[in-house]
Amino acid sequence: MKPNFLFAAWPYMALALFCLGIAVRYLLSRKQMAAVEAELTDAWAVFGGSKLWCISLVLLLLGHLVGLVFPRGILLWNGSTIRLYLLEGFAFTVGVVALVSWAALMWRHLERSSDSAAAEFADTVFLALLFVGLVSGLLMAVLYRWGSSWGAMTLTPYAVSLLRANPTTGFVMQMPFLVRLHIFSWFAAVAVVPLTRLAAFIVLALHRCFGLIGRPVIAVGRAAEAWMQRHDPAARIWPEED
Amino acid sequence: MARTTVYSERLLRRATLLLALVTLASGIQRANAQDDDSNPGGGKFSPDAVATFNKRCSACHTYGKGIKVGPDLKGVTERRKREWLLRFIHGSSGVIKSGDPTATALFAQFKQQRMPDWTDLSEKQINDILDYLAGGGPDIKPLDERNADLATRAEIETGRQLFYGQTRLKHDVQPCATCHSVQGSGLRGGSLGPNLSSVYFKYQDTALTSFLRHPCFQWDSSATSYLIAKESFALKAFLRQVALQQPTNTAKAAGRPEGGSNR
Repeated sequence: MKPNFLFAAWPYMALALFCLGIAVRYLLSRKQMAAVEAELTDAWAVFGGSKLWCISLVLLLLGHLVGLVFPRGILLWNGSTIRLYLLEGFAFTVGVVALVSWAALMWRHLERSSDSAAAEFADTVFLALLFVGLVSGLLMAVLYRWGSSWGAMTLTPYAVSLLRANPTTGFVMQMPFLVRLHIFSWFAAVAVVPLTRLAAFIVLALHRCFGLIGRPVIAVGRAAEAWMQRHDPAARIWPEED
Repeated sequence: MARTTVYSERLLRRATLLLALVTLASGIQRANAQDDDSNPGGGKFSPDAVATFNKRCSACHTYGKGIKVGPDLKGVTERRKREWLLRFIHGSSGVIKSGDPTATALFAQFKQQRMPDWTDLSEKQINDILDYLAGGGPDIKPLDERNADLATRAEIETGRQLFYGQTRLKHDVQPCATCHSVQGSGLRGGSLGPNLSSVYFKYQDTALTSFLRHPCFQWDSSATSYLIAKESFALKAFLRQVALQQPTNTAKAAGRPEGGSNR
């Protein structure tokens, strides 16, 4: 597989697969939301894990997001060696906590049995991709020190170029294998989400969002209908028909 | 329960205090870092003077390479008085007409070809050009092209501080230690890029100068500001110093004329 495909086309393909998969799942299950709600319990059992697992994952995602949105802020913070050590040390600790929590989660996942072999397989693939992402991230921190600084200089421009629909792969192609694996595994995990039980959360959230957005539209429709009944504009427009 | 809350509040307060102290300490460290705002070319002349010289003078004059259309300008600030030069450059026809013996002699010597009257140049602009010529003119090497052998101890130390980011680079470029290490840098140096301990002898002075002029990473293709000449030279000098400390390189350096760091 050509690196250009991996870093220029694959991110968009992963996002398209995610959107398409979620849309299909929503359309298939929108009449059976009770079943989706029941699936949530299963999803929580697979992915819920401990509090530490949730907190560490949220912190890791937030950290990456801050690095992508405020690269100059990160570089400014890292301008001092003490602060650089603090940030990197904290991020590494969070990564280790996430990996240990992942191991506990996986242990529990392997012990339990499931009715759907397809969902089981998808969940396992997703968890495996999370593992690849976590391990590659931790190895990067050890082998290629100060990723928060060089990442802000190289990976942020790549992410920005992706958002601008003009991917500049030069930044990523020069990176070591582990860095490329880290990026690839993240997009692969995004692509797999609709096939996992985790999609139940997104489908239900979408359903509720549509419900909330739909409420004012329905209210306006009903108000218009009531007004029409009260004022009967047809009689004014076509008086001869009375 | 209440005790736990009080304990948590204390912990939070201590953490906030620690964070504030860390921020303050690093702020003081930044404030101590010296600002570098030297001329990009490294010399003590206006960059505009170089551009004006190249645009208006170099078509007819050389600097140290003999007569072209007009006289060689090397040493012109010593041969003529500044006042006379100012008058002549601003309006040579007027000076010749006034019967000035030097101007008349030059007019005759150069086949009665008169220099254009640069009336649009201000006195300051002409003075800047003359300062540039007095300082060596086109013979001046950009500071970063100087051989690293000639670096002083202070310049090597500046290079070390720039390498580790203890002194901020002028254009807010990230310090080398973000991605690179050198011998003895310990954990301070990054490990994404190659170790630069022997890079000076690998590339030699000229190639390293050229290499340091091109940024490793750019935020966007329009970015042109990278290292200024003084920073580039200091970094080169530091890398040479590090390379000399390598046992394998000391032998290599022994075969070359050693400049010494205090020269």
